[in-house]
Amino acid sequence: MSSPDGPPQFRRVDWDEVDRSRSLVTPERAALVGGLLFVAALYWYDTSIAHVYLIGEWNVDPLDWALLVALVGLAAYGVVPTVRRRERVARVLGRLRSRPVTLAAGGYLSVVVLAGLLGPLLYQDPGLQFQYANHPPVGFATDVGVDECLGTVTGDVFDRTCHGTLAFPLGTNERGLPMSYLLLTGARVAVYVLAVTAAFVLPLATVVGVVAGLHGGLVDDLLMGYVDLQLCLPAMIVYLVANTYWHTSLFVLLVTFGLFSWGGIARLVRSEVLQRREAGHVRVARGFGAPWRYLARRHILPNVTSTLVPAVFQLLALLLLVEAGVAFLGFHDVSLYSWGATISGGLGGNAYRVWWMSTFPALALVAAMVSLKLLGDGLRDALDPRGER
Amino acid sequence: MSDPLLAVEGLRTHVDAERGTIRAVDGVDFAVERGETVCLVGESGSGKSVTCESLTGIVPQPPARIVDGTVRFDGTDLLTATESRLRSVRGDGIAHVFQNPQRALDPVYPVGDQVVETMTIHRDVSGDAARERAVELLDDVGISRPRERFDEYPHELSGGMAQRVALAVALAADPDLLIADEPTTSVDVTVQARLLELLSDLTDDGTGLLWVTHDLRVVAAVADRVLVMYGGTIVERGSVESVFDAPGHPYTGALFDSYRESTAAGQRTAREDVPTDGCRFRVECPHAVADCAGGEQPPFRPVDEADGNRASCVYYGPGYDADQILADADGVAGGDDD
Amino acid sequence: MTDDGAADTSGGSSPGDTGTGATTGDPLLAVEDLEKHYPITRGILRREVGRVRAVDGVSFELREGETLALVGESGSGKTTTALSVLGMETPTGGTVSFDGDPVSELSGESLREFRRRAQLIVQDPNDAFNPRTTVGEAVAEPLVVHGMDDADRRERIVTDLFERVGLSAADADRYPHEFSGGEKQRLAIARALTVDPDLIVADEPTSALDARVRSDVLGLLADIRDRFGVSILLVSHDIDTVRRFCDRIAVMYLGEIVEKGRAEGVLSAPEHPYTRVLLDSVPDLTPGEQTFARPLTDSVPDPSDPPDGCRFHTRCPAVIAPVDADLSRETWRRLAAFRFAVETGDLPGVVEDPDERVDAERVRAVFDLPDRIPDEAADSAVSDAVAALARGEVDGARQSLADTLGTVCEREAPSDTSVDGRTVRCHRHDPAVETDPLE
Repeated sequence: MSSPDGPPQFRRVDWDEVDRSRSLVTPERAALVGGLLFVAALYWYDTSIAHVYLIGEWNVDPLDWALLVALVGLAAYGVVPTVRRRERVARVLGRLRSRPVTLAAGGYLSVVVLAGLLGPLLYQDPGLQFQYANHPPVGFATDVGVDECLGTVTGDVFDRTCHGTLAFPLGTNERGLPMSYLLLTGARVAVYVLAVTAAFVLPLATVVGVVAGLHGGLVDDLLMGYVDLQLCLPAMIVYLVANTYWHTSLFVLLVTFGLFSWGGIARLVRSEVLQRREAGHVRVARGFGAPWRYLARRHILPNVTSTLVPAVFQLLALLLLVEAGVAFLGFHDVSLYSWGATISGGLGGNAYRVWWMSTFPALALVAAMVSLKLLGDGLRDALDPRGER
Repeated sequence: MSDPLLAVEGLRTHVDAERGTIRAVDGVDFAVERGETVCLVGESGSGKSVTCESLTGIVPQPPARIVDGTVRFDGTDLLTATESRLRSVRGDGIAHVFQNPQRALDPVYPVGDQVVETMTIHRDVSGDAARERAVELLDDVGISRPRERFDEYPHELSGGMAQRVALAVALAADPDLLIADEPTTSVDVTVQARLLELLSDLTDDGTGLLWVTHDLRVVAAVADRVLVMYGGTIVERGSVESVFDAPGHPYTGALFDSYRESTAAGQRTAREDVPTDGCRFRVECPHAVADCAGGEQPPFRPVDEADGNRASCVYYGPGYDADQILADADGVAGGDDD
Repeated sequence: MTDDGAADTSGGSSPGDTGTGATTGDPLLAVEDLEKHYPITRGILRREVGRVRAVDGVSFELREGETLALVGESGSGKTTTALSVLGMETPTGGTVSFDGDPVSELSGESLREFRRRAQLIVQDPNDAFNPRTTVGEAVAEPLVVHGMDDADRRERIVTDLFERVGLSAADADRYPHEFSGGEKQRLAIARALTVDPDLIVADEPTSALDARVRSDVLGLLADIRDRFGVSILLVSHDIDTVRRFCDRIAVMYLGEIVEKGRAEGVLSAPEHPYTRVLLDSVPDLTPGEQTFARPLTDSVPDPSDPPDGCRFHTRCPAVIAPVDADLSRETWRRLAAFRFAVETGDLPGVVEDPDERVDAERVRAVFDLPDRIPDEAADSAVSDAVAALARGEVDGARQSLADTLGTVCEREAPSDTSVDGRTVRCHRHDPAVETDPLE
């Protein structure tokens, strides 16, 4: 351990001179503030000057503003740090690469998100075309009455069988809307659900969980007391009441269910935080003067991800299902053709004979839910360095 | 001369881990006689615990696999015995005590019931008679107010008390051999002293005691014979006096040195990197030569006197000068601090 | 403040001097009457129903370059004391002063400076590192928190330290789970050194390690102490570690320091009865039949309800006999053991037998009581107590014994006395107390 060149490195530091640069402006905050200002400007423009169209003919309603804010939040705290910590991200991606199932799940979800965001650009709303209702998909035929069958028609006057055509590759629903279009609109609804939940529910639950866990005492009691109270209220009932007495919209759905589901995640985070705060590395970091916010961000939260990530993805999958269920029951915004609504439309008396109307959206929905769960599990494993082989 | 209580020959247990298969126990032979205390000494990774758990088959298989050997107890080879035979041996013939008593005891049952349970499984007592006997047993192991404590739960007891209860559970079926794996490591030193006294009295009635530890002081206090383990093999064996007086194997010497200030600072080998042939210690040994590698571990040869301790080291064989090793090692005679 | 054998600093200041004066005279760390009590609460409003007196009046000093060991068993309060020294537990009484300034009054810049100059090493190496960051980042963390923004400079310091603790610079990009316990503990030492501390508090740094690795890590710590003059406050329960490493030692029992002084002295010729029991409970390295010192009773008292007077009196083999009693040392010891067993409820099974009326003979035999005791008062008290126990009346027995066999050790708490350059808290060493000297 001899040091021929004088004192060792760590002794050559003059600590009185080390200047602490503590800036309030981090790239994430800058992105968040900038993005929010941009959205606010858009909103002002929309309300006072002229309507704003996002991507093609997408008319902006409250839900879309929520989506925009959500996207800004996700970009600021999701995309920006990813770009900054390239090396760490590369490692995580490397671990993901060795898990083909997770990659497949991630791939599918990316397709859904892209389809949802870009769908309206690619595919204009064809409007209701009842004449084309009940069209079968390509390669199949149906004897359920089709007013104007674009494919070949066989059979006699009383028993007409319409065959599929490439004009409607996946067939049409009971109102003549092409299934391919409906899958895209369903994807958009899915994007709303995922983005808004991730951007609002996740931070809220995490912050409350961390604050309750770290502060303890009265703060903890109050926060968790509220969470308990909230967990007692059935979200479905509240939604139905709001639906009946106020108005129907996906926004209301998301607010209601989002509002009632963050509590569970908050509790989860809190219990993990309670365990982690006594860990040796937290103690040592406190010892060399790290403030609690730093500890929460760098030492506690990253180690909470193994419970948090799967739980959040589980919640997202569940909310997709809830939305589909609510739409299926008919308590939804009819102008938004979500997968659940489309499924519901196809389950009249003729269900078997117009099977494509419910099957395709159901498959899309199931695939999305399974992908979310698989991605959640895979991501949890990928984030933990101990999983590295 | 009667048969030893326990005779182990050629025991090999492999453990399958992520990074490969570890030969946790790699050719171990030893015996325990009635009324004798044999200590298995080694550091973590030496294979001492896996050895003990392999004897009665309680080692989890998978990821472990007992691949070879015989374990003779009471006329049966435990490694090839039927499950029902093994079950009757466990508790009645051979009982275990572990390091952490809170894990060995069931947290949802009162401690007294756990003693009674072992008793009723293996002995022909039940009901009130069993309860009385259990209270007596709790008293014997030094638990005060045993009748009252009978109904307490493990978490209500201190570490020392819980370990005594675990001992009572082990003794409930009156075993012939007690295997204790680091029973005093997680208790305070004053509590350890009481447990040492208690356990060394056990052998007075002929019960054999196989004690696993890493603490040489505990070995000095309780052992009749010592087996030093490294890398899954026994590297030195002998009476406690002979081993402590003149430790023969370089590893044993290094262990003793660590109780003083003199240690050769070296790279400690990770368990996966320990060789699986010849002398396992050669990677760290300052005296290693070409002969140390290859084949089986070096045969055991006497270190000093013909009937004294024996070490598995080439330096005690023909053509080598053992003085090089002995000069390094200072056993107890070379300067004990107390 | 009593002389506790503090090391002579090169400044030539007199040992044990806490007085004001030149900085060289101030100890680096001065703990005075430190107390840490935890309330036991009940109900929603958290009403206090008791207190756990984890640390109850601890005083010691640590000078530059010195190593002090806090030794004790579980429940002694040694870890709580160490954490209080670092300000990680807020004391409920007393003061901790670092370089002359009370730690509880530090804030802002001065607090940050303290947090740089005093560092912690924890017991479990597997828990000491954030599993999500590389060890290089972990070791550099104190530098980051203390404001060193220059990444290159940090890297130089970290690389240098890695090599000093016996690892290679290439290891910096690996994660904690890839290292062994001993290596992690060495990394913990490197991390503590990055900000050039004056004090390192090491809480059982080698308890979780194997013998040879333990030796390596202690060697490294000793090297660092010698080379860089860092003071070390070591918490340990292992006598071998302490003997090898420390200048001075403070023995703790139930929240108090019962003996403190130079390590060689205390370890070779302990003066406090608890220290003697503790040291004598450690098995010899020499094989053979060993007997260990026995405290009078086995169970350790509850820290929320410690014994009156001297906290060790219920277990002390040297407890002082009543002044007016005419008893031999041996007899008194047996009576004391009997009395305190009854007092603490450490009763053997025979006393509990519900069916048989246990006879007095058996009780006397179990407690090894002599048939006849020369002192009449004691004799009748014992007989009464034995009879009461035979009837199952524990409280009655307790009362009759307490009335007659009272001892100064339970009536008065002992104060610190200076013995042979050491501080001992025991009535036996107090010249003001009437008793025969300890053998």
